[in-house]
Amino acid sequence: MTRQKQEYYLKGFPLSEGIAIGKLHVLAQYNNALVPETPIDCADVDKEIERYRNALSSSRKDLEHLQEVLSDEGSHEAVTIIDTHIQMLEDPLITTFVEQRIKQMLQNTESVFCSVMGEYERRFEAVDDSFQQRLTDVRDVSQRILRHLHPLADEPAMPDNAVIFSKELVPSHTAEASVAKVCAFISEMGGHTSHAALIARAKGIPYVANIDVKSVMEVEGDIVIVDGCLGYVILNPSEETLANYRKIKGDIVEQYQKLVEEAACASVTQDGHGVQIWANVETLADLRHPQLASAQGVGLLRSEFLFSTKDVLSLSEEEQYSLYFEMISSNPDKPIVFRVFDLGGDKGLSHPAALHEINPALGCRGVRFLLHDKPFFKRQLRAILRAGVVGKLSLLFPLIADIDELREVKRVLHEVQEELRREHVSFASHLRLGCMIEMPSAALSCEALAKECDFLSIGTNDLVQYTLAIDRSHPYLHARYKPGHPTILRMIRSIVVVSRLYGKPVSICGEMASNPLFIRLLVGLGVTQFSCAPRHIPLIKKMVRRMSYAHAQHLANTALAMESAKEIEELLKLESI
Amino acid sequence: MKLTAVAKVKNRLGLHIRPATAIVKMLQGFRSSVYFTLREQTINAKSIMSLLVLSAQKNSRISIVVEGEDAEVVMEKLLKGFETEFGE
Repeated sequence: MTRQKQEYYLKGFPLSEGIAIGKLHVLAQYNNALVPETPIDCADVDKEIERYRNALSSSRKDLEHLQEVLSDEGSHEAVTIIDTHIQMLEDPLITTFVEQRIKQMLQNTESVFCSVMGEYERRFEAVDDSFQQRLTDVRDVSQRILRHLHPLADEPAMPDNAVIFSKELVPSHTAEASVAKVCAFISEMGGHTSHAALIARAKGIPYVANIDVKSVMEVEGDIVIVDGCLGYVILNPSEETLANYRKIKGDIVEQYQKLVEEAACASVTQDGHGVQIWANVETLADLRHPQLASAQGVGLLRSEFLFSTKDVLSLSEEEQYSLYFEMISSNPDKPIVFRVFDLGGDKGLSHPAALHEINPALGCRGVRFLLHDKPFFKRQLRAILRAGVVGKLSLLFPLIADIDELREVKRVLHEVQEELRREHVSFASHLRLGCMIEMPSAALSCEALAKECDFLSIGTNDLVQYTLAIDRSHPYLHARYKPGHPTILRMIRSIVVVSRLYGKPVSICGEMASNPLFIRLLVGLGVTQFSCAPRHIPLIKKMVRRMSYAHAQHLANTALAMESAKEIEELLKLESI
Repeated sequence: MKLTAVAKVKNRLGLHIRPATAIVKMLQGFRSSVYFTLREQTINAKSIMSLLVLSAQKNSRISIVVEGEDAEVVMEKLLKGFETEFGE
């Protein structure tokens, strides 16, 4: 009797979302022991060098081809990474230095190459940790060259539907993977910011890292499940687990189809309570997203993402105006909430005139950035006001701390309007103005804010970060980032109550607004406007259409009475079953 | 002609892979030899792999030596590059 192998869950770091069921394929890694070391004759030196140059030129062709494919796929980040690899192929260390060594050592090319790379890696040992990660790119290139010099003899062919495992995943593993053949990645090393992870996310292939090499090697060729959402790799899955995951996977595809069909319907709860679903937009392509048609309008246009960060400071008014005009006039009937540049902090760009920031999250970001550089702020305001003549535009200000900051921003806006009026330039003079509520100070003083603006928009990502003092991308602490924390729910509730009192609409536009777990709770708390990425709209609409408002209110009251985030999480999990 | 200068690294993450690639690309096509020295380590600035080994952090001061017929243009471009964080 054959014994059923034990099902085994390995927990790793989820680096790229999605679920895959496929055959485990362990990538053969070159190690120096595999490379033969043979002496060569003086007369053969030219032949060896020729062989080496061929390997370099084949590697270059690979990379150029890869770059074309990636460029077609629109993975610009990946194109830049591969560009660096091409530069490495022209590095004197790789070209002239290796050739000199072949002549001196009189040994076959691959062994000379390995010894040069070995020396190089040893120089790297003394280097600071933050640079160590880049050694991965150098290894990637050197493995590529070695493969051309000396193809691995017994490299097993990659099965279809492969789950690729490698001790260390290098960028080209993910860049070269075709979505048709590779269904997931697993590796022992690797972090969220690694180039490989970045490319996997861009391609939508699930990836789990921090998985022990030994446990995985034993099941090569077997079926494994990769859960890139929760970070599990399941070895020897039982029939039951397989059926379960197949269902989840199938459901995801099927449900989405159904949802899309349903999304055209109004979002009203079963007991007739209306909820508006708006779309978050970051690029011109988002504005053409098919789901935009089913949205009330654009609830959050993140203007800083329309331009590359390095160019944004030098943008002229005209450059901005023509883009904004194009965007607004392409959807003149849809209301657009235009958020002015939200730069600094985690957006990477620190103002050149600002001092070095020890703590960028508490530094020159949001409206502080704009108020710090008024000419820059005014250029954008002028461009928006001029372009706003065509559509239905509202203006939204990010990271407002309190009423004084709102007044300061409004003064600048007023100055800009005066300037435009004096210049006899036509502009939208009656834009609705909104405040982002994403700091505890704004949440707790939202009554003052609600009095002096036209609408509020709760940015849950920062509100949670600043209230709980937790960085949600922190590798060890992200589990403590709890959007369902009692303090957050109570803040949201009080913002809703206050804004209702003053008749000012309030919407939620953070990630909470696209998390199905929270929708019913938020509706129950009284939120009537959600803004999320266009692809999430169908799901959110469906959730609204299936829920009862009375029940959602009951759920919200139960949660509000709870004191522990853990209890609330458990309550929500029970609800979602 | 031989020119020397000292430049400060302004890039937030130091001379990481992106600025290093920019430096190498910038120097392509120029005949002068270019050397960077930091912490008694001197490297060829036309080699991206050597630039990475140099692992120059933000605010480190790099001694630059440019030697060759087009040294003047090269030095000017480099100093401007350091100033503007090599477009990062």
